[in-house]
Amino acid sequence: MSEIDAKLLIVDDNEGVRHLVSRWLERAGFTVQEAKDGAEAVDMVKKDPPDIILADIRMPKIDGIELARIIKNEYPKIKIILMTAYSSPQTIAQARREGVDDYLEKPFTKDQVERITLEVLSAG
Amino acid sequence: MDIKEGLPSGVEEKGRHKPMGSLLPLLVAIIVLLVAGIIAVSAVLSSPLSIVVGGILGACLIALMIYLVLEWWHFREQNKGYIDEITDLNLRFGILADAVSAVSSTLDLEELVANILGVMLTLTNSAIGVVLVPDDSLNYLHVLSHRGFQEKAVRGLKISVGKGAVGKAFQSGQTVIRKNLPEDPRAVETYSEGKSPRSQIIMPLKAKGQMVGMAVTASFEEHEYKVDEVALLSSLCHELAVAMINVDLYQQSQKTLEWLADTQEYTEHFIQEMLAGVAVINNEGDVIYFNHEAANILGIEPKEVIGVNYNDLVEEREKFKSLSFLKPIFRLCMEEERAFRRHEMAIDGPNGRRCTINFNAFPLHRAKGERMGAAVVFMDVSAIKEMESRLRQQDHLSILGQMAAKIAHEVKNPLFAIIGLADELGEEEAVPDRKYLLEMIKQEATLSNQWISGMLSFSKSPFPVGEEAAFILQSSVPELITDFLRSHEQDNVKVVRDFEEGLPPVMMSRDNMRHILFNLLENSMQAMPDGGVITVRAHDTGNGFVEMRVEDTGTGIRAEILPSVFEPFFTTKEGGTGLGLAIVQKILLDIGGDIDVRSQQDLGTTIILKLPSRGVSHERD
Repeated sequence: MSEIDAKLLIVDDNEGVRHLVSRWLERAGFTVQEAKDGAEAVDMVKKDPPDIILADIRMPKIDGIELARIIKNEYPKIKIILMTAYSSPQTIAQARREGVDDYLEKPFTKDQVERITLEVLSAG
Repeated sequence: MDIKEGLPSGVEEKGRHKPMGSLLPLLVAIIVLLVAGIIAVSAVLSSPLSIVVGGILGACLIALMIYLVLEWWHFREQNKGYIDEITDLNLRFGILADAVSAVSSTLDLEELVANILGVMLTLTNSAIGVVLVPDDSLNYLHVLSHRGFQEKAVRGLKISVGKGAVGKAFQSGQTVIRKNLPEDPRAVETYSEGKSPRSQIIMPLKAKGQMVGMAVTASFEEHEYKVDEVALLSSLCHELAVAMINVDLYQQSQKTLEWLADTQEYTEHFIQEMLAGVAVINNEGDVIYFNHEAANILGIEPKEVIGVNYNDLVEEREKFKSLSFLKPIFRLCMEEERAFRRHEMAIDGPNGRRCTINFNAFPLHRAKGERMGAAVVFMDVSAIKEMESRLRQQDHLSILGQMAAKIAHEVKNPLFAIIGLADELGEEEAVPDRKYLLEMIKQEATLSNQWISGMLSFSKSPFPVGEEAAFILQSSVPELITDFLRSHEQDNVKVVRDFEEGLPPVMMSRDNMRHILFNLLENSMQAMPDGGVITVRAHDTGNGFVEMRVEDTGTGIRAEILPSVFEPFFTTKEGGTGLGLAIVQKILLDIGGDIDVRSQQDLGTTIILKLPSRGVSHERD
């Protein structure tokens, strides 16, 4: 399994989801960190900015959209993919306005998340 | 009127005359005897002596006649004053009688004043006269009636109160007699005869302590205003003032009556035109008002109801069926003095339509409290009720949507983890039995996920605002029907299309139309287990909507459950979710359309869709 030179931060309040997605992407060769909500993610980004963040939309304290706004404002180079179990088209549209690079609807497969992450990273 | 008041008093005491009643018969007897003597002598005797005797008798006769004439002359001279007085009295009685008759026979102020003024002029032997009345502010007097003036001299004339002889007299309320008046330099343009008046009497028109105007008469000659004459004039003026006040009161009461009549007319007009049904009964219980709106709501002509007693408004009388709800209301108003405010009840409206009526009802009373009938004011609130129920339903849908979204997230998220983790474990598991169990976990979780996704379509907005697409029914609906039949083929069911030409495009996505059409076609098919025909029709309503109908010849929907078919989770089907028509309705309401259903048991069901269209129909060839 080839190493990919990219640091990845997974943000989800559901431990199972966090663990599953980390596992998939670590196996794909990413260096993965985990945060359990938006606030923790912001702290972690300050200490060690990743190349890409995969965050759930619905989270306590700072949700995915708010997180995207903060990150894109301070670290415009960090890519963001939002994950959602269910979101209205209006939420998706708002996410796009905040500069979110792509989104994934749960349930997704290992292949899907790997492909989209690579696509977003290679989009420059 | 106290006639005596205006007359010279003490007529009885003025006995200056010498009666000649005792002498007269004697003298007449002497004359008769003399004449008889002459005739007798002439007839019996024809001698010269008879001529002498006749001559003597004749001379006596002549002397006697002369005496009589002289005596009469003397008597007349002696009693001249008395006779004149009698004649004058007669005249005055006549004048007053005329005046009284004028006062009592007319309520036309100008005519009345003109009449009395005429009498005053005759009485004072005057040619000029005027009656003036004050304006509302009591600052000016203006001419009400006149004689002997040139029209242009009095038209618009205003005399200031307190100024000039007349103005001052009005202020003081005193009668003023003016004699030896100076020559008026403007006499030619002022008076009809062009002459200047020499004497004048100015009299207040006063009654019940109220000054109502002034009367002035003037004479071209020096006129001696005698005490009796002034008394009579003052009496006339008093009568005129009383009459003027009466006329004013009469006119005011006439105005009040007119106002009342107008008010009644307004009220009737108002009741007729108001957008609420009004039914009024009198104290006998007969309908006396039944306005247009009442007629509209209850589907009966007012003339068929007016005059009918409320006790006869019964269901058994077919034409009064829709009015039968009024009977118990009127009965409670009349018998128990009950009043109803904003009550609501369901009634059988015209054409068997069930209506919801909102009404106020109350007994009617006169100012004194005596009852004069009862009224019911009602409105057909069926449409509002329906709207309310739809809004409530939409509200339910919205809450349901929010709940579903929350559930979706909270359940789908762990399900995703379960599916993914089971999959991970399954990939690494070598023991077939354990691998199978992990596969079962994955399958069950996937099923749950699918079920939730299905329910989610209900809370999901059909498409974001601003992304409406023009959808051409003519070309797309046949494709959708074909798609549907591919998966739902049923040999004994035929689907027929009947589309108007040149339909405008409707504003909705193809996915939504597909969802709606599939849902309706599936319902129709299920309603026709023994086969039948589904007809899909569409026509332009011309007011921005295309009406599309899906009709079937199936079992129909029972009347009692018809109002519930759009309610979420309402279902009659085994294993049905009860969300089919609720979702269809939600989609339509979200895009600004609407849905309605009509059904008759054993005859079939028609679903009517109102689809918003852009613009008008295409011109037909």
